[in-house]
Amino acid sequence: MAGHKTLVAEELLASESGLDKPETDAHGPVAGVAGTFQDSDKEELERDDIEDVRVLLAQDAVEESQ
Amino acid sequence: MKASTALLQLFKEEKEWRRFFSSCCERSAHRLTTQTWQFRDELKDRGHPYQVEDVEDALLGLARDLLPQSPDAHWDTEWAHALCKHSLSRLAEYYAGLSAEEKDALDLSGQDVWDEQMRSAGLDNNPAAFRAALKGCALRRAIGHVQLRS
Repeated sequence: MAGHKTLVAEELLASESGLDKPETDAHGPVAGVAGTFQDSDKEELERDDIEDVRVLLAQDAVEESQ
Repeated sequence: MKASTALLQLFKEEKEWRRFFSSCCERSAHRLTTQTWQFRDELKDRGHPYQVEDVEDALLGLARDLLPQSPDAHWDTEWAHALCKHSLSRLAEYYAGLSAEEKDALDLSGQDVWDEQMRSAGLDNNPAAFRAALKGCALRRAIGHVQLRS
């Protein structure tokens, strides 16, 4: 991968899957708690990002099929 | 910034990471979870450090949003089983370390609520909610209360 480290084979990773990680109290916002306008703005931005990536993935698929 | 937002930025900026994500989702139900650490490391290099489980939940959620027909977007009973098994083994370790009085003092009421939340999360195909419900299970909370008192 240009400019980045090489992706590594998956077989190394069972212990890296998150199941063996110690828990901490560091979590994001709790689901179901009333959000703020800022939260809703962020969610809308993320929805826009999701749509953008959907388009890019579709373009990638077309490129690969050609 | 949420892990999912950071991942979306990565996918928008880097075609190779986007393709890697896509190939993981399409290949098998476990590929994405076994490769989570690579996404986590990349985000960390970009100044966004997250725990593996947060990145894993974000990736599984994005698989459902972006590639809903892929194997990794479907509910993975093996993943849920492994998560429960690991959690139970840790609880067993904690329980073994309790005194007789502490074991007697365990309050297991309310477990049904968490069981129902886990079941609902599975039906909703929501890995993050399933993990949250598992973490909140009453047994773990009960042990936590006992440990706090002792």
